[in-house]
Amino acid sequence: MKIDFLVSQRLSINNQATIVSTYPLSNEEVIQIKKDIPSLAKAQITFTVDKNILAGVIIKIGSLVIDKSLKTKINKYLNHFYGSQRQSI
Amino acid sequence: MENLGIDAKLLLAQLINFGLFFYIFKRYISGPFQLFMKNEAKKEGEKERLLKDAKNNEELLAKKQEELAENNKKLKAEILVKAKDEAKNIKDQLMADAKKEIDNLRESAKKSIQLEKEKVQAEIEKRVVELTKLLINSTLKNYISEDVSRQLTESMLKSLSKELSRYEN
Repeated sequence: MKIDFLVSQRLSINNQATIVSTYPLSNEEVIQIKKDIPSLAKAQITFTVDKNILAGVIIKIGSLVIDKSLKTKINKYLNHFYGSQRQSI
Repeated sequence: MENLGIDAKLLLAQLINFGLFFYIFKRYISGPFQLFMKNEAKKEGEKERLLKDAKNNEELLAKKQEELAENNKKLKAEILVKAKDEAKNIKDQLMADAKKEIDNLRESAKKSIQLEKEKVQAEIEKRVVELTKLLINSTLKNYISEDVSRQLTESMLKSLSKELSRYEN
């Protein structure tokens, strides 16, 4: 299922989205995000800064979370690494 | 006869007397007595026969008792052997059951220990992962400057559409 379709579904319930980043995003960056997820164009977006995510962005639309943060990536790699190690034992 | 001093009448009377006496003696004394004696002899014979029978029976009984005792002895020995065999079988069975139960318990304990070990190992691994995450995140948080973070974010945003399409698939 297309991400944009899922986003539009969530936005139809509550036309609000939150984008978390480590610094205030520039207009170009926001445009880039809206280009990739067109449904966000008409949404009411709240921008939040959280240095704990290290880098990247987290886009929250209701219960849908698109997590593209460095912290999550590292955690995923670590989980994958330890998981494969456990299987090899 | 008279010249010989023998009175013929007297002689006749004495002969008749004798005849009568003989007849009466024979008929009422000697006959019953002989019959009595004969009966007694017969009874004696019977008694002896019975005695002999009794003796034979007694011997037979003794022999039978002896045989019975012998049989009892044999039977006792057989029962004893049978009981010993049965006891041995029961003992073997109990031993086998106990061994089986011990093996089961050992196996169960081994499994339980293994499970516990795996659980502890998983828990340790989980904590190690959490700790590593914490360490890496806190280290990176201190070392990644805002510029680096910005560059990384930009790079991520550039590849966002690609990542989203991968997510869609």
